[in-house]
Amino acid sequence: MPRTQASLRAYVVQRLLLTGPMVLILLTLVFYFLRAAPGDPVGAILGEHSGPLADSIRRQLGLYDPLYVQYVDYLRRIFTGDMGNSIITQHSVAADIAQRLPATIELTVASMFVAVLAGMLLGVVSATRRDRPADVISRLVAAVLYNTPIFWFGIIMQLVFAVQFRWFDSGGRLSAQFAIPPRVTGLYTIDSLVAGHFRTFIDAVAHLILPALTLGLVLAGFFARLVRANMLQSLQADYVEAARARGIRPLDVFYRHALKNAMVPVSTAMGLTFAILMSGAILTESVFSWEGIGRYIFTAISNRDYPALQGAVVYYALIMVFLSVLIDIFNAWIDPRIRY
Amino acid sequence: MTLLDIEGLNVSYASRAGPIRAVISADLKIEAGQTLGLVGESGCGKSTLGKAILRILPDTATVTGSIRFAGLDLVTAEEPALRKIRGRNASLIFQDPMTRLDPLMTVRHHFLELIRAHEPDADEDDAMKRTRRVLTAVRIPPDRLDQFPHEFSGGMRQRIMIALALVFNPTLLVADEPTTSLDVIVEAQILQLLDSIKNEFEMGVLLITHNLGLIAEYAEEMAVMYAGHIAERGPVRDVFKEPLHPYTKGLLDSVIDLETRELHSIPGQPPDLLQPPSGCPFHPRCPSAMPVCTGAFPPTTRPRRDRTVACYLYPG
Repeated sequence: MPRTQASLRAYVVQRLLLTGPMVLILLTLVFYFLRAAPGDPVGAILGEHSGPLADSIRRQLGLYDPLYVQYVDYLRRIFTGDMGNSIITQHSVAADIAQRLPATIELTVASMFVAVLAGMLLGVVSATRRDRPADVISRLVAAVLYNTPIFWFGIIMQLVFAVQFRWFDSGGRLSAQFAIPPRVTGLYTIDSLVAGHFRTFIDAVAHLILPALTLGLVLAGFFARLVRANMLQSLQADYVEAARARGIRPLDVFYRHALKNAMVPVSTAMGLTFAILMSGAILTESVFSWEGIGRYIFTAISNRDYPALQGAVVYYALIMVFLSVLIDIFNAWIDPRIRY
Repeated sequence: MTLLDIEGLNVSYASRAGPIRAVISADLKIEAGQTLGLVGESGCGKSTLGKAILRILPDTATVTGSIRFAGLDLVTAEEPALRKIRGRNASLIFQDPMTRLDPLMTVRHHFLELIRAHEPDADEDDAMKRTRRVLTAVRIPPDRLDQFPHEFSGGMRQRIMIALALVFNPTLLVADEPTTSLDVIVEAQILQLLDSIKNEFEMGVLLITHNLGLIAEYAEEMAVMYAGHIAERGPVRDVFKEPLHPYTKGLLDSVIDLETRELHSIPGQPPDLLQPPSGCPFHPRCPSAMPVCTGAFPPTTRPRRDRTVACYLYPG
């Protein structure tokens, strides 16, 4: 094993060293793109023809400084963890994001759980029963899920399960009668368990179910197609036939060879989806009044709230970099060919 | 002693355009410790025949006839019984070693998986001892056990495949174009290795190839296949000296050597197996075709000692 581990370690170190330049490039792009977009925050607040008042606010915000001064100032602040204050609410952007992040993490993890489970199940059933009724049905289900508009699906879920059957609330993270559990992680489900508030936990889970199903099932449609396509390919691979020719049991051939090889591209797609969800599922969060990052970004865009938007995008860039490093390392761990 | 006895073997694949008959009433015999060369053009059904022996054809294939091996008829045997035979009594090595090992698995795991599949209680030390022995036999340094397939060259990967095939000292090795994708030097190494192993382990070998040179060098018996039929069978020496079937003659004439002044080939193309010509499928390309050839497939006759041929030129 030592050789194998050494090559993996070298890969991880190299991959981590690359993240520095990557983050800097991303931060620079974020800065310039936002400045290049038409309109400015002061105009958004005061209207276009606001004269001297607007001028003085722009000066106060440093918007008249040369771009490179603004850029250096921007980088300096980010590295000290200061993302500025929202122009609209005056709240610290870093604090705002930190406060909303757990909601997004909770929704992301729950919906990915649904998506991976359902997607793998549908995909594997399809691939192993190719062109038989089970395959046709599961492909149909996957195609319908994948093509369902998420906001419409969310509203239908609310109408059926919240309005008609009254099994769940239609939105929010917790019912009014429960106190928010003392903050440890910010994830209500985990915090309530830590605090031993079991009924609060049940309520938090109940609030999570509808948005997680909505987002998760739509994604499951996508994953199912991906799993099926990759499984069909790996089931026909030469090494699968060779393993059969050596008398390996069909289940072992399936799991140890076909499924594992199919998972290399699939896990990359799943990891990237996870990363995208971490920027907030804007539609799902809006339909279910879920106060996460997605809603925050949406509001910031509508208000041209530069610091808020910039902070959110910086956060998103960092998450993306961090998660893609994790995905790369995970892939290198299962697929030795990537390490070189 | 007859190791493998194939009689009236038919394999057909279901396809949208209708059944494709890849092997048609084939008879073959391999004696213990003997190499039978099976030769034919691409698409004549020789690989299908090789895989049919181990019953690893896809679900779309239908197999009838009989394949007697290790006291069983492999055509009617159940899947668990077949599984015990595959990789233990009979092994298969393939044309393209580059893609035959699982890229995500170390060499060690390939061997461990194989040994555990047939001996679930085998302990790892013992399994590795056996692995080192076969790896040494194929001249792969056992200290490379923990490397992945992509760290080996094509020739080395084929030697690993051969080592995997040898773990349980099989009595039969089916080698399907084992050197076609390798360069000439490596090809010679692999074939010499196979030959010495065959003698050491007393294996019967079915050597499937389109290369008559390999057959001349390494096989004792040969069979010529055309469009799913066995056209001719006999000892290699006799067939080379006096080919009976016009197709065999054509094949031998197409071989190039230092004296070759002019290239010979058989005119036309191998037939479409979906719609083979009537009668003898070779008749559209045959220089000796007669009216009778378009009627029914010719009966197999025995015009010489130890020789059989399916051609109207040799009435029984």
